[in-house]
Order: sequence, then structure tokens, then C-alpha cells
Amino acid sequence: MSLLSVKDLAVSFKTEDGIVRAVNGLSFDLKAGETLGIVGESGSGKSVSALSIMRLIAMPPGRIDRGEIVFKDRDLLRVSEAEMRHIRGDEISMIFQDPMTSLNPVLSVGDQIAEAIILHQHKNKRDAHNRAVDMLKLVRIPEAQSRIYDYPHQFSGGMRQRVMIAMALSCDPELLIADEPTTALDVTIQAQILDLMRDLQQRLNSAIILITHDLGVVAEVCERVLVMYAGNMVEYGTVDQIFSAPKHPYTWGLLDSLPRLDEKQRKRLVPIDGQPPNLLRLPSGCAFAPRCRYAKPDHAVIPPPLIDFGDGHVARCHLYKEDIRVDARRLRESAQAR
Amino acid sequence: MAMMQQQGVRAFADEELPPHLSMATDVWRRFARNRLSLIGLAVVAGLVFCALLAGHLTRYDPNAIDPAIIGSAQPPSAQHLFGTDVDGRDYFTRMLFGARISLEVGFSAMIVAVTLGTLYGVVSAFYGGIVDAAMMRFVDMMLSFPTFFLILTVEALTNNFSFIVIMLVIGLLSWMGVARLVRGQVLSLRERDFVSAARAMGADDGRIIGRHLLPNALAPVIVAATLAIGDNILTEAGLSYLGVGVQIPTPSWGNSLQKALDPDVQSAPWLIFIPGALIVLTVVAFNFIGEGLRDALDPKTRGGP
Amino acid sequence: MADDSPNTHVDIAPSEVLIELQNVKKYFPIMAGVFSRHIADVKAVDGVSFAIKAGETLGLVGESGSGKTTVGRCILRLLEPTSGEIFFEGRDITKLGRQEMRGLRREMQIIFQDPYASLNPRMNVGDIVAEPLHIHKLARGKDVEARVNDLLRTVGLSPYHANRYPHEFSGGQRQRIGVARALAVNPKFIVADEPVSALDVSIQAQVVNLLQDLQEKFGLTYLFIAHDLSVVRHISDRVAVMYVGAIMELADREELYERPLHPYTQSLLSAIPIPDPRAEIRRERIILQGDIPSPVNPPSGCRFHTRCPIAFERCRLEVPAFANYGGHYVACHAVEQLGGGQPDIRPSAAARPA
Repeated sequence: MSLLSVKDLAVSFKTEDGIVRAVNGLSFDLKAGETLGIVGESGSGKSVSALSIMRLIAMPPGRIDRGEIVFKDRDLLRVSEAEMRHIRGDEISMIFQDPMTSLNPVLSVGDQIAEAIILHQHKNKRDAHNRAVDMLKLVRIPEAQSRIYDYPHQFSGGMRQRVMIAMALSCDPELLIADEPTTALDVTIQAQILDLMRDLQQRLNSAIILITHDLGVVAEVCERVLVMYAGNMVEYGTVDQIFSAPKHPYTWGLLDSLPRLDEKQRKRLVPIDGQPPNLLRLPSGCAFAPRCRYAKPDHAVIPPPLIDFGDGHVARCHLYKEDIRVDARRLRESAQAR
Repeated sequence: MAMMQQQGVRAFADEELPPHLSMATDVWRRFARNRLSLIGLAVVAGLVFCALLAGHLTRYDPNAIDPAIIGSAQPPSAQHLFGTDVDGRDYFTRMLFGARISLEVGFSAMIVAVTLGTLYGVVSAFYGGIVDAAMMRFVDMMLSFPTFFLILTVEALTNNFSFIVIMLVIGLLSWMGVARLVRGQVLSLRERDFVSAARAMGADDGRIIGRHLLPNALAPVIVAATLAIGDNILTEAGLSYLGVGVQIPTPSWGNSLQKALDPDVQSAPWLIFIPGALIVLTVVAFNFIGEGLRDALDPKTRGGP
Repeated sequence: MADDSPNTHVDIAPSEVLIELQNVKKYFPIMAGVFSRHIADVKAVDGVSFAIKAGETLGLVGESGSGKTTVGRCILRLLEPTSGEIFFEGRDITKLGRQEMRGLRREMQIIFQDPYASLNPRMNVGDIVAEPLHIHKLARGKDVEARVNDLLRTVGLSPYHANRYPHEFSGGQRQRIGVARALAVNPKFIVADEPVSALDVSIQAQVVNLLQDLQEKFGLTYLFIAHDLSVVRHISDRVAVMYVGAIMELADREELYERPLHPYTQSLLSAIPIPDPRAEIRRERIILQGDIPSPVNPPSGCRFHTRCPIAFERCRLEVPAFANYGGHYVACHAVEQLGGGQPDIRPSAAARPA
């Protein structure tokens, strides 16, 4: 059974220039304890989707146009604000890209961690304090006993992100949403945080949604991957399926345009042509069609079908509508050869 | 297969860019979206129109005394739209000519203050270091006097109440805000990469200031200038009210207010109400325009999502 | 570095060298208190020496606080180095006066990281690209327009973009405008300061390819500054690794990536996630402990000793020399003891008897 089930979610924002369609009919399921990576470039709608699950979209200018977000049999888009406050931080919690702006600068980190524990778990101050110390130890902050009295500015970027993780996990959430948690960090610090997340993932049984633009991070931490483009899912599968046998031309594009750390021979990169989609004027059909090497003129007009490749691997693409055995590998290589 | 294949670097089709608008069209479109600013603009346009054509909009002379009614103010009537003052002068006419004085002082003092403040701010920020420190301490000192009382004192000391002197005194004592604003802008702009790029291509100081710093610092200055006109009008009214501004018989809103508060004419409330309302209306109108410009001129929010 | 002028180009013929840095330092003073007392320095660059060959791309990688951006800005004299010498075609440019430097600005240009901050929002694209032409009086009248159109086409834009303003373009397109501006003076040398790190993945490849095409077409020399080691491997001929203001290792790209000697380089390479889950499983990861030290108080001895898995007493006390092992330069006591061999810093190595 799914822990979280997003069905046909559509979110838009009203701006001076028109309606920005940030998410357009996104659907996916997440099982308890599973780690899902949501990958996409800026404007793909990955962060907006996450904020919708937390119901943290500012309305206005934002608007949920349609859809359901079912979390443990409740539609989060329809529960009361009071109930949602109860869910947030307790059953679902979130960590953000910039750990400095998501911590309150005038409260000690201990107080901030304890706050959630007191609020959601109705513990007394002493127990909450002890729990906060335990959480800091869990995220491997040295001398947690004394550092708990420190303020956010006394921590480095990586340490602050650890504090954020400690805070997010303090109430044993069933779902943790991490929005680009390592993007602002240096490589060696990112490695520490990813290592920590992998370790926690095995120890605690939280499901994780990891939002990132970095395919390397996904390959390292996630079990399943959802690739987003222009507010919709283009491909979904296990990490192995997505990296070894990708089906959607956009996924190919992402993988082929990346220089590889382990590249031996210098190959010319294969970029995705054109510019990122304009969310004000999306085509009625496949949003990737204008940049796709294999698109026929009608692909931008007709919505692409959802093709099932078996074993949970799906993609939304016109290429396979007559025959799912279209030789994707050959097509992709012909593109690389150019 | 009709693939979209192009060799080499691909040129972008024009339709991939948002429709092109000139800077002025874009600013106007964004300004016009704010209804209050439009109202403010209409009010100011009306005032400017009245002030310019003051002589043609009335059949009275602003200083002409109607001997028939001298000594008792007449309430508004078909003959005298705003009534008359206690000396038997047509109040509508006096308000028209008062608008001329207010706008003249407001605009010209603003130009003095903005020119001086902008130059001062740019020099201070661009050269930085000890120059900046000294120049800014002077601004602090100037700002530590309450501006209105400073102007009041200087005005009383000069004992010259001609238009030029009033304008200069207001202008020369109210540039500090603009100087601080421009300095702050230039300090942050100076560190931006496009300024480094200009340096890297060998641009001299004049070009960097003129083409890169000033045009980008201008938007908040225009906003401040608009607000300053309102402030100056208020200052002029205050000075005239206190008798150290525009002198009777020259009509001004401020001195009309003073005259209206004379204990002898307490029975004529319109004499207080009309100039008071005009001052408030004008100042509020300039503030609305300033607000609208603030949003319309901000390049950060221009275009794009 | 301790030694005064480590000769970093014994294996490069003097005629091949375009740029050479010798013991360059850049300290930013920290002032505090009412009287702006000088209390400390941010030692952003603390004795850096390297040479760049004409026509090559030298990659300069490092994490935040490594000083890599400051090095780039010192070469262009957008920042004045505190000490040291920078030679361009044999001339020490740190000694040049304002006017001489202006002439030299035609030879070296810069491409910035943030395509949003590097273009003047009040100028249209045509004026932005034409500005260097006006400054150096390289074209007049009709010729300016022709040259601008030419430059725009060179970077993959169209002449009809000339009357548009920067905000009308996407990040990748803006970066192309910045490249066109840099090319306007026909420079020999370009500092590319993180030119793709603010761009989306699919756009990064477009700009990387463009830079490579231009290098081939115009024979450009690049200093490519980045924190992304994958991009650096792809574009560079040689790579230098910086850590807290100093260069730790410098070698040909193949050599550096296949046989990294310095423990920092080794751990940096191992820290990068590879977008291939099967390769990921096989890799043994080295996770450094602790944080990057502050350049205000860089650690004594070897700057890396506070995080190095194999640091020993000497590392704390003595600054390692930037030594040459057949064109592979590295500043590490462990490497020196192994006579240029690769120290094993894997966690599994610690368990093994030494």
C-alpha cells in the first residue's frame, strides 16, 4: 500500500505576465520507507510539487487547480489547516536548500529542535531537551551536549544542514522531503551529508523524497527516480532502469549532456538543444517536443501517452505509442554520433 | 522522420523570446496597472494644467479686492466658486495661483536637491575610503538637525522671501536623503559583475559611472524625486504658514491657511478647508505616483517569470 | 608555500608560456572597531605559482574559500595582488601603470559565473557587445553594427537580438552574450570564472561546447575556474587543485584524475557522486571529517592536515614543498616520502597493517 499517492496534481501561479503552469497533472506513488528522487531542471516543478505536499504554497499567487495528495488515507489538499499543522513536522517534515535561512537566528539550535518535539509529542522540556541532544548526536555533531546551546551562526554550512536534518527527524516522520539539501554545500561536505542520509535511511524507517538537479546524487542515494520536465513526469522507474535503460529522450539528454568524472576519452558533450520551456506558453502536447530530436510536428499538439515498460518503469512519450520495443538505444546512439 | 536536426551551434528562433517591448512601453504598462498611481498622475496633471493656465481659468485677478464685500468672507457661490477671503479676493483664483507657486517650488527645489544629492552620493561611494567616510559624516551632521527647523531658521535669517531664495534654501537643505540613497545604490552596484566586466574591458571611471552605475541607480532616485516634490510642497506651505515663506499678497496655499486661521475669520471654515485639502491632495498624489514608479522601474521584476 | 619561487614549468619551454604566476598572494584586511583597526587578514590567496601554456586550458578547482576566484581576478588586475609577480608574455603586469594596463585589457578577458549579474540591465545586447569596441576604438559607425552581428552569430545568437535587453533572455543565452562581449576585443586569454555552474544541466553542455569551439577557432587560452570536477576534467588540458589559498596538486588531466597523489585530491574525486548506480556501488568512498578551515587562520604546516586521513607530525609543523614528479606537481609530505608514489588513504587501508 502506498504511503503517499499524488494524483493528477496541477498547480499554477498568477504573475504579471500571465498564468505560470508550474505543475501539470503530476501523479506518483511512494511506499513506506522508500527513497524517491525527483530530478529536474529549474522550472520543472519539482520544488512546487514538494511544497504542495506540505501545503506550503502561498495562495495567492499560487493555486491548486486540481488533483489529490493522499497521505495515509487523507487527502492533504482537503484536510483543515489545523490538521495540516499537526501533520507538518510530525508525520511529514521537510529540509530546504539553504540551511541558514531556514533556521531562526535568535533561538539556540537546541530550543529549535525541542520546539517541534514539545509541540507534536507533548513531552516536557527536560525530555525534549534530551531528545534534542540525542538527535544532534544522531546527525554526528561533535560535542552535542554543549553545542545544543549554540546559535545557528556559530555553525558552518554543513553543520547547519545537519541541524536541519536533526530537526526534521526529531518526531520520527513517516515522510521526509529534502529539497536540494546539498546543493549549497561543498563537495566534501556534500559527501558527509549524503553519507549521513544513507545511514539514517537504513536506521530509521522514513520514506524520503529527495529533490535535486544532480543525477549523481540520485544515483547515490535513491531507489526510484521520477524525472520531471515542465511540470510533469516524463519518466519514472528504479535507479537502475533510469540510468541503464532510460526511455525518454529528455532523460537521454540529461545523461548525455553531463561530463563524466570517469570519462577516459574526451567526447563532445551532447547538449539538449534550445532553451528551457516557457511555463507561460506550454504546448498542448508534449512540452519537450520543441527540443526533442525525434519529435514529429504533431507531438507538440497531442498529449503523449503513458507507456508502461514493465516492472514499474513508465515514460510519457510518443515514440513508443505503436510499438514499445522501438529501439531506444539505437536512436540515442544516433543522436550521440552526430 | 522529420527530425529537428541542425548542425553546430543553433540560432534561436525569435518566438522563443517574450514579445519585445521598449523600456518606456514596459514601464508605462506596469505603472498603469496600479490604479492609485494613475489617480495620482491624473491629479498632478490637473494641477499642472491649472497652474500653467491659471490666468485663463478665472476672470478675477488674484490680488483684486472687491470693495463691496471687503471685511467679510463670502461662502462659495456661483460667482465665487471657492468663495472669497476676508479681503474680498476670489478664493478660487488665489488657489489657482497658489498651485503655481507650490508646484514651482516643489519641482525646482527637487531638481536642486536631486542633482546635488546624486553627485555627492556617486562621488562618495565611487571613491570610497576616507573620502566616503568624511563625506558621509557631513551628511550625518546635516541630518542631525531637524530639516524643517533648519530651513525655517535659515529662511528667517536670510530675511529674503523671494521665490529663488525659498527654492534654494529648501533644495540645498534636503539633498542628504538622495545622497545616502545614491551612495547605497552605487556601493552595491560597484561590486556587481557587469561593473567588473567594464573594468576588465578597460573602461575609465567616467564611463563606469555614466554608463553602468548611474543608469542603474536612477530608478530609486526618480522615485525619491517624486516623493520629494510632495515634501517640498509641504515644506513651502509650512514656511508660508509661519510667515517666512511666500509673502502675502502673493497667493500661496500656506499663507492662505495662515490668513484663514486669523481669529477674526473663524466663521469661514472653507478658507481653512480648501487650501488644507489641496495640500493634502497634492502630497498624496505625488506619493501615489512615487509608489507606482517604484514598482514600474524595478528591473528585477521586469519581464520573465 | 614556503619556498620562494617554485619553478612550476621546468617541463614547459619558456616560449610556450603565456601566463605565469610567481608566489602570488592576496590578503584582504579585516578592519574592526571605531578606528578601523587592522585586526587580521583573509589570506584568500597565499603564495600561488603556476604557468599557463599558450592555447591550453588550465582547470583550477577548489571548494569555497579556496581562493580560486581571487586568483582569476588578480590575473586581470580586477584585484591588486598583495605580493608576487604575474607575467603575461614575459611582462610583469603587476608593475604596469593604468594606461599600459588598459592596452593589455585587449589581450585578456573574463566570463563570469552569474549570467544575471554580469550584464548591465539598462543596456541592450547590442550596446553591451559593442562597448569594448568603443573603449578600444576598434570599430566606428557601420562597422560596429557589423562586428556586433558577427559576434552574436559566433556565439549562437542572432543579430535581431541586438536591440533586446538582458532580462528577455534565459540564463544560457545571457551567458552567450557575456562570451560575445569577451570576444569583442579578440583576446588571447580568457578567465572563465565558473561559467556554467549557474546553468541548468542541459544548458551547461551547450556553453561548454561553445567554449571549446571558440578555443579551436580563435586559438584561445583559458583559465577555467570551477568547483565541478567533472566539467573541469572534460574541458581542461591540465588541472590545478586549490585548498584554502594554496595549490595542492597540478598535473595533466589524465594523470590527475587517474593517479591523484594528494590526499585532498583523492578524497575530492571520491566525494563526487557519479550518475551511474552500478559504478557507485563499486567505488570506495573517502569521507573527509570536519569543515573547510577559514582562510583567516589557515592551519599551520600543511593546510590540509586537519582533515587529512594520513596526516602525521611533520604535516602539522612544516609546509610541504610543491615538488615536481615528472610534470606532476604536489605539495605533500607523504608523497615525498613515497618518492612521488600515491599514498593509500582509503578507510580499508587503515585497518591493514602498515
